[in-house]
Amino acid sequence: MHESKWISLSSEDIAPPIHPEDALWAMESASPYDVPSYVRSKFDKASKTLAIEFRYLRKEDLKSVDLKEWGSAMIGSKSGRIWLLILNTDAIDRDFQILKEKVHSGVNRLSSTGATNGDIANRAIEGRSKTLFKLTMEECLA
Amino acid sequence: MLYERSGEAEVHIGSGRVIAAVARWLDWAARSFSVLVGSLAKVDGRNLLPPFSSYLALVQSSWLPPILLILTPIMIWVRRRLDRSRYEAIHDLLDQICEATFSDVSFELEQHRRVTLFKRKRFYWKRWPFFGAWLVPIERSGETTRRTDAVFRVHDDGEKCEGVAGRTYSKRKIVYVDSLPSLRTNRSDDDLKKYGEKSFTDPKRFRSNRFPQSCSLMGLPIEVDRKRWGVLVIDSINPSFSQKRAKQIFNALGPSLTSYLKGI
Repeated sequence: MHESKWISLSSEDIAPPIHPEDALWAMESASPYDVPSYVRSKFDKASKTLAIEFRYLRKEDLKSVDLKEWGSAMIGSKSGRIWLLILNTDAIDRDFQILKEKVHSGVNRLSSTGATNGDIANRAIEGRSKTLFKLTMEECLA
Repeated sequence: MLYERSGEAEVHIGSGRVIAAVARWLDWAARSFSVLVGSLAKVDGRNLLPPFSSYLALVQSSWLPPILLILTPIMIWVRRRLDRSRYEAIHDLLDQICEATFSDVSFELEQHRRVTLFKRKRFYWKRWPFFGAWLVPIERSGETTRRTDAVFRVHDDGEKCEGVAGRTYSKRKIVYVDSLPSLRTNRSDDDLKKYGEKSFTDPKRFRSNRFPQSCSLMGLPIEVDRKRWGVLVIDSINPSFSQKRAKQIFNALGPSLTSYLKGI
């Protein structure tokens, strides 16, 4: 098992404030409890799975979500926050863009099964994708 | 005038400290008497000399044992809820959040930047209607402006929630409002209207002798045990402050704050 270090995330980058339609003078951003503080990736050479793990302010009970051929995930049982994505890389071409798209499509699929912060998770992965996928790319290409 | 109103009672943040002191004393007395009465419960009074035998008979036959059995756990519960050391720790954390958020700005007075912790209460006797939900201030950074009428309705209909605190609670999001008109001096009706609209508050709520001083406000939702608990409001008389820094400080100190709020 190869794993990256925990990468610090900035809430301003992954959950930027927006002006709500009913109060354009105000700014609103996601609850600090819904924004991950850190992210890291793990690659298991034996099972050829890429895991992307998030860390939040508080721990919580998790439930497993089966995403069939794509892989699986762990989300907060009540909150629906994405804690862990496990991606099968067997079927994935050894291409950075394809790998990234597969991860984003997995997050989007997860959003339709009860995950509540898919957009934040996508932005967190997008901004740190090179570091997160580096291990996978190296192992796949090896 | 827009502000001719409000016979509403103000809140004194930290007034529970007197109740806590009384509860602490009663808790100590109830425990001590429990030990005494428990140890005498089965003593045979016939072996004692008068007047001790009559005192013992009085204790054994009186209502004291059942009253102590009921009173002791109640006092323990009250004392735990109003634990002063816990409130002191919360106060320290609010001070730290305040200092760090405004570390790059100097203020003339402590009350010109504050951090206030509001708890959602289902019942609040100082506001009508008593039942329903209210956001009531339970702790504030610093030692000044602890008398306040900043109590906000959390309506079942989210759109009717009051203030930045109410909106933060109902939307479960960070809400930031800046550049509010200053009501400290030379306020006009237009200023009051604008302030009310931008801060999601009915201007009729403003007291003629105590107008809001803040020109920038930020509400952060607080969760305890994965449930909405209340709101933390950061405010300043300056027209704006750094949202980014406030969020960073909350991310660093929020978990400690949350752990102190369990059971309050």
